[in-house]
Amino acid sequence: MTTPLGLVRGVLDRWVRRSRTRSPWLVHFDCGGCNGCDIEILDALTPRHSAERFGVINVGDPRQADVLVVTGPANRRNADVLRRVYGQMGEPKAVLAVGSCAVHGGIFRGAPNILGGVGEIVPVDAYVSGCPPRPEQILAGVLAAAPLLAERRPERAPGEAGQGVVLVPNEGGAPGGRTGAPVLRSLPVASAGRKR
Amino acid sequence: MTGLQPLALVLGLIGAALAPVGIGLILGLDRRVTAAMQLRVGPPVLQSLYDLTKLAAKESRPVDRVSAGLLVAHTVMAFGALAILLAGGDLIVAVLVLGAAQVLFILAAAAVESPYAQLGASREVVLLLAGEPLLLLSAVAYGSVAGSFAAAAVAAAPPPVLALPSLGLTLGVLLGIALRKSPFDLASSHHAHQELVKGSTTEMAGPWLALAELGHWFEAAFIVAFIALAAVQLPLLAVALVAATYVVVLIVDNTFPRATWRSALLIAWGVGGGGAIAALLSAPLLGGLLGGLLGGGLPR
Repeated sequence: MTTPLGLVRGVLDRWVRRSRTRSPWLVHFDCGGCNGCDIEILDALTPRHSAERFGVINVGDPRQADVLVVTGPANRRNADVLRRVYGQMGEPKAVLAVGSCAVHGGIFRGAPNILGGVGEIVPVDAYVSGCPPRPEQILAGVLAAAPLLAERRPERAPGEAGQGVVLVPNEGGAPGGRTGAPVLRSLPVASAGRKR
Repeated sequence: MTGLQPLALVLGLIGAALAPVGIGLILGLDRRVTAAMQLRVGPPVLQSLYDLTKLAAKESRPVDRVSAGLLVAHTVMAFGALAILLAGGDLIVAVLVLGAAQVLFILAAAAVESPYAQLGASREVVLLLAGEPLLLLSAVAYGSVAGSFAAAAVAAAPPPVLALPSLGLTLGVLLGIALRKSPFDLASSHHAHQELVKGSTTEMAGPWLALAELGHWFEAAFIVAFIALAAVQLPLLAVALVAATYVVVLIVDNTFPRATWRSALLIAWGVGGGGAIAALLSAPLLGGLLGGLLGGGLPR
């Protein structure tokens, strides 16, 4: 490995991994919640939270994006569209479920048209809970998913736990409450919305 | 066109090949300064290079075959234009090759079915319309100072920007266009205040988007080198000229984020064109004066 070629390859490989984890471009898909989370996502992208310092850019095209940010519960109406948007993204890619509805179906869970969390349809890598979560927590979720972009991963099935599934709890989420630093916690196994 | 020395050609090719690293760093600085103007932290200086590497290393998604071919041609032509300029070749040829590169990109954007890409392509046409005449006029102004259109001759002549100060306006407008700055309905750089999503690259993804980006970087490098050429005999002045032009473009970009393509055309032709024409009209007068001062005199 100490050959000049190996050395160059090693440096190049490190540079590519670094570039991939530091440039998470988002594409935002709303499955049809109340739009509270969507407003918080837009909030996270405003100058106040300066998402660009992490290389985060919001793009309109799933084919140009690295992280799929999904809000709202998975439902029969647009499950297919969600699947297609996910399929259009090139590897390496990650999925972030934002808000209670996307995590497990939320207030809509159990309704006849609702399938549960978006983990039922696409493999979710990070969950951000809250109704709605704070912008800081959404950004923390994106940063938790970013290391997974370092290399291409094998195909993943919906509901399968990614190697770094995390939960970003809603600390101090009460209106007027203090915003605590988001805490990252590992989630045991294929979690959200598996059981009916 | 004066014949190019083989050595100059090799140096030009090497310079053009290294240009993306320099432009990547300049764009990174640009994003940081813009962020500071908006009271944000901004991304790391290497961010633009991260973005390009990531795109290049991403899984390739099928693109339109015609569009893909045109994209390759666009990048190669933009590289060629830059190499001609850096090798000290004919300015008019370099400017026309650059124009051809831009036309190829417009065709690549218009070759796909997406209406967003079509809209983006038509806006790129407006940018070409705004920028290309200015570039040609500036090249003519350089030539009127140097007595030759060869970039090497211009570099050896008294700095055109001192002979024709109003050319600075034109160069500023040109830089703004090359960087796809302000008018928000034209804009397609990565700044947060430009809310419109880049239309022309709608159907490009992964390595193909990286290729399109690389082509634009060559175009930007061409304009930066073109601006530096206006004062290349005094390197400090050349750096100051590029920096000053860039800062003015950034301030305008942040002050008028809601300018439209009409105002862009008006500003480009009014300010930039006015500056260039004033420069051309005053060339014999001011140029002669400065030439006399520097002792060189103008070949006429």
